[in-house]
Amino acid sequence: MGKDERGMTAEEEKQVQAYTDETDTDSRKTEEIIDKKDGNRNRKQRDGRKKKVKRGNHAARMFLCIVQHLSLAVMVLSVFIVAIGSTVYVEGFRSRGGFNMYTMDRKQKYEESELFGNIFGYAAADIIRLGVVSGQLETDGVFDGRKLIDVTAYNFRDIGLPERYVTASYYLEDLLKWQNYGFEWTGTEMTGAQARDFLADQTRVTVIDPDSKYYNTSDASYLKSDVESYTFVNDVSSNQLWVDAEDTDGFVDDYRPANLETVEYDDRETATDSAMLEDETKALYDSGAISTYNVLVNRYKTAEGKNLEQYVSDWDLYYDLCHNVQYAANSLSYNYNEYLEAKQYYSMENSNVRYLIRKTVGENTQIYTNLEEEQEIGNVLSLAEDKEKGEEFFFPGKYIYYSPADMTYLTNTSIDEETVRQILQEYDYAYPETVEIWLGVDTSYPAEDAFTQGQAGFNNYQPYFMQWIALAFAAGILYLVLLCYLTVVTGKDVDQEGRPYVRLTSFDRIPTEIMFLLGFGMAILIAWVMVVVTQLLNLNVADVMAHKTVAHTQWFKATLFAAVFAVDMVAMFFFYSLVRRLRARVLWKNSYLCRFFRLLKRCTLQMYDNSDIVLRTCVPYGLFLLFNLLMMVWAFDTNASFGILVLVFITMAVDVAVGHLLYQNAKEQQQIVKGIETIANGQLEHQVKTEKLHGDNLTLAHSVNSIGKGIKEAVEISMKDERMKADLITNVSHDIKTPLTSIINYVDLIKRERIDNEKVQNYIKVLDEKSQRLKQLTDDLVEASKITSGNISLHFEQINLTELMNQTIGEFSEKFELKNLTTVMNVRVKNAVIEADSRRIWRVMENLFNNIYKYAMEGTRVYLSIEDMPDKKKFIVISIKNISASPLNCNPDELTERFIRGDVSRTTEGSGLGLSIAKNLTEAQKGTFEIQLDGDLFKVILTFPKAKEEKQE
Amino acid sequence: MANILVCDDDREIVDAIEIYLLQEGYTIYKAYDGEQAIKVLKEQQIHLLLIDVMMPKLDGIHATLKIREYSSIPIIILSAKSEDNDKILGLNIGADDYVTKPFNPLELLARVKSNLRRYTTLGNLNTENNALFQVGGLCINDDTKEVTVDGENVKLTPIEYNILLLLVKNCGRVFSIDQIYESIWNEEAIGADNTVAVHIRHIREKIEINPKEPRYLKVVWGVGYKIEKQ
Repeated sequence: MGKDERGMTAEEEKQVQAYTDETDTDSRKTEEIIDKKDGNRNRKQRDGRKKKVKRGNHAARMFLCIVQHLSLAVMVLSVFIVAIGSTVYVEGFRSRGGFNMYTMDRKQKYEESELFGNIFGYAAADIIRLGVVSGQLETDGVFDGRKLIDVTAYNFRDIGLPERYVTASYYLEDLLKWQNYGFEWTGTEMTGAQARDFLADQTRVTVIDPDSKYYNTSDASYLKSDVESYTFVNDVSSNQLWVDAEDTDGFVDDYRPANLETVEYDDRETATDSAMLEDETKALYDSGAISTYNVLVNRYKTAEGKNLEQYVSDWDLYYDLCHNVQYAANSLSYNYNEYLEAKQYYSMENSNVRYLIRKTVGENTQIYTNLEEEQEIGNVLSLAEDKEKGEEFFFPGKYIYYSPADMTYLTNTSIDEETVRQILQEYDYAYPETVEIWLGVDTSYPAEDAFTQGQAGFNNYQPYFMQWIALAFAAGILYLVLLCYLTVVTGKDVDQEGRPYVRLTSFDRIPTEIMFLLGFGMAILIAWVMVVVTQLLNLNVADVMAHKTVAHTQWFKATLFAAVFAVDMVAMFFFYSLVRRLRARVLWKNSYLCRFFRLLKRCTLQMYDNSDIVLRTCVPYGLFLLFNLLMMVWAFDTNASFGILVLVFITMAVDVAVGHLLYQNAKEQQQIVKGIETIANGQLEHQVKTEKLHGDNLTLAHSVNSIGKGIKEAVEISMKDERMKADLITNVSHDIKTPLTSIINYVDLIKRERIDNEKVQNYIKVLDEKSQRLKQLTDDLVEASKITSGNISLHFEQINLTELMNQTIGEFSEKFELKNLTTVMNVRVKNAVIEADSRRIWRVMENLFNNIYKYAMEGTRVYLSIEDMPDKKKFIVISIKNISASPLNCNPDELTERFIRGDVSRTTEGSGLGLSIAKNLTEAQKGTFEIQLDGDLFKVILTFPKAKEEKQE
Repeated sequence: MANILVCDDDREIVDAIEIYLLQEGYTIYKAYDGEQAIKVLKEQQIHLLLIDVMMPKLDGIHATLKIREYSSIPIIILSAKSEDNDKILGLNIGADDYVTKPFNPLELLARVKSNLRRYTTLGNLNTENNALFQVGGLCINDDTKEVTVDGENVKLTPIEYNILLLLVKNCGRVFSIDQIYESIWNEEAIGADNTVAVHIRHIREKIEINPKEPRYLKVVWGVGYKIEKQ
């Protein structure tokens, strides 16, 4: 055979051209694919980043949550510290409790602070009082039990004495003992005469001497008794008469210097206004009748060794005097106890307070002090003479010096004169103007007392006060901000496609009631733990409230911090869960109540749906009737009058009529419903009978009938369409095939002619190939279009996949041998039986194997496996794997979508519809068809549902 | 030689077939619709009819029905209708064979020959011999171990012969690969073996005109193999 150079060239050119075209399209495709892949990769990267961000988000939220709890704990701790720091628990003598700290003192030294001033002020008050009490109980700075007490003067010490009064004087120790023992009264039966005789003949009256140098009576009286101890009480037997009212006025007006006199008076010469009473009394005395008189038992005698009744001649005065004794003893006893304690409290060893009170009454000077050294006292007193040296007072530290007589007030504290004067005024009966008070605090604090307590509190908290407040505010704001933020974002999340959704934790899926129960339980548990811990540690809540030492300990603060943190954590856990539930709208959905209601609803609906329409009407009507009947019976029982009887019968008649109507209506409806069901079941020609229907039911029935008719027509039209479609496909294929037959035949005939021209031979070869391909294409096209239009009928039977696979391999063994392909089959399922159309599934296998034959790399192995689906045992998976000869740079989906996309196969062999047909046929047989590409590995995975094992042997 | 009537409304197809058949030495009569075909059949001694389905005046199906009223000559339907239903219809109304367009000329020739052989030489074959099995044109003589298809000898290997014999003896029954294996090799089948399938394919290639559309040895996909009753 001779070669035609030009012909060859032309063909080559053509081929080259075609090839270039192909490669062009190929490369373009490849580029697109690479782009897509890049896009994929980018997307994947983005996804990855998103995931990371998501994970990061989650961690960040956890972190913020912890910060939130921490900030609350910090805030509560700060507030607590500010609270306990703003007051100091100080155990003063009479002033125990919280002393306020003042913000303005925060830059001051303790000694300059208001706190110090307050403590000092209370101490000053204590000491001034101690001075008063000491004056009552001491003589020359020592407790004196033999001190005489003028009981009436004592009782009237703060309101002032009348110028004339009845009194008795006792030794201090006697009164204290008497008070301890108790006062006893006895009832004594006496006649009037006896009673008169029981008392003294004369009442002894003490008169304040008008020559006294004091300005008023109260000053004079008590101070005198206090300071001068009984010097002013004169002897009993004065003959001076009871001073009348005029005298009294004169005495008050004149302010005569005091020199107290005791005057005796006779009650028979009393003032005129009491004359009547006196007469009656006299009459009573004279009557001789016996009365019971309460008499105080004289456990102790007065300083003069007398009984009380010997001082008075009148029973009223007697009782007054007795009561005065009692009150004085009571008060003194109280003062004595206080005195002992105060002495102890303000002693040199126990207190940092130093005091000295010098009181001068007349010639008499009394000194009350806790200074022990004579020298120190001397120093103080000498310094007092030189008041200019006030700055260097008698001991290092803070001091107050007050001398009302010369209007001198010296201090280096914040306490002003007014304060001290007011304190003094309370006890003005005890302090004459000549008093001088030195008060000081040793700021080297040698002893533990209120001042050191105050100092400790002050130094611990005051310098950091503002910082704590600021911290509390900052933490509080941080907490609120975090709370708001986390409330807004909690549960919000983004899924892999970037769509937002609410992510619920496993806890959020717990039914709502259980969550609330748990939350309630937790609250109770926390409260219980708090109570138990409080009891275990013997904590007194009042102590903590009073900011006593326990609240200042570090462990208490740490515990508080931890407790707040834990409580907030628990509370927020539930709170955020609640927020998430609300956000995801599952709060209600996820509750048992909801489930219960749903169940109830379902049950009711089920009962309703499954019951007859007549029954559905009858049951409610029956209930209504029953109720009606019950009402009637009740009406009979209560009021059986004729009118009511008639009414009842009318009602019954109406009931029956309504019942009949309802029944009729329900029956009509049932008829229509049945008609609709019949139509729905496919009998489109069914018509509801309308003769006996009325009203809405009639309209309904007509509508149903026309709908049925409409559906029937629509179905007919669509069936006609289907038939036309099928006919069209058949006709087109027929019309193509007839001319194709001639082409093929005549090409064959030409081939049989002995043509020497090689060029023509080549042309004929191309014609032959292309006409054969057209034939194949036509067949495939028809089949594919039929399958996609659902225009095939399948005959399902039991297919053994192993058998099928073996048959297929057998069919293709020769073809595979040509390409040196080896098949490796793995069957890992016992009965690989499915339901399929025998010939269609063969078509699937044929197409797949043809595909392998065409595209697999020569000399490779083809792996076939049949196995159960890993997680779903009801499915069988067939996988077919082979190595592609040329690179597969396309999407797996595209391989099966060519027909739909109208893509023309690149290869000369086959129609390119093989995989598409295989896929569609697989799906028509209830299977799935998937192609996976992994490099050059071409993998087809088919799944089919297993056949029911009824015909198995 | 035999007279063959070719009937198709497509003259080119008729001419092409005529060329092929003339080369084989047959006498050709041509018709272009059903009525013409019936007319020719009445006038001439025809041994075989090739007839298209979709034709003017009288289509192939009705023509076949009419012809079958008085004649038993082999009728091969040539049609572009390749649906199963069409084939079944054609064969049921009395056609002996069904060839779809576009056809392979060689296959058509083979079918023509096969049908003529059966009609002329094997029509009244004696089947009394016990060792003789016949299914349609397929005939197995177990005594001589000879297999003929439409009178032509077919050479089979012993295994192929045994398989075919098994299937022919149990004509109509479907045998699975395992069953065939067990009865031929007398061994238990291990399964997952395609030896039998390969043998079957070889047999088909030898006895069938178109192995992809076998007349005798049919593949029931996913179930097994069988010889179809004729």
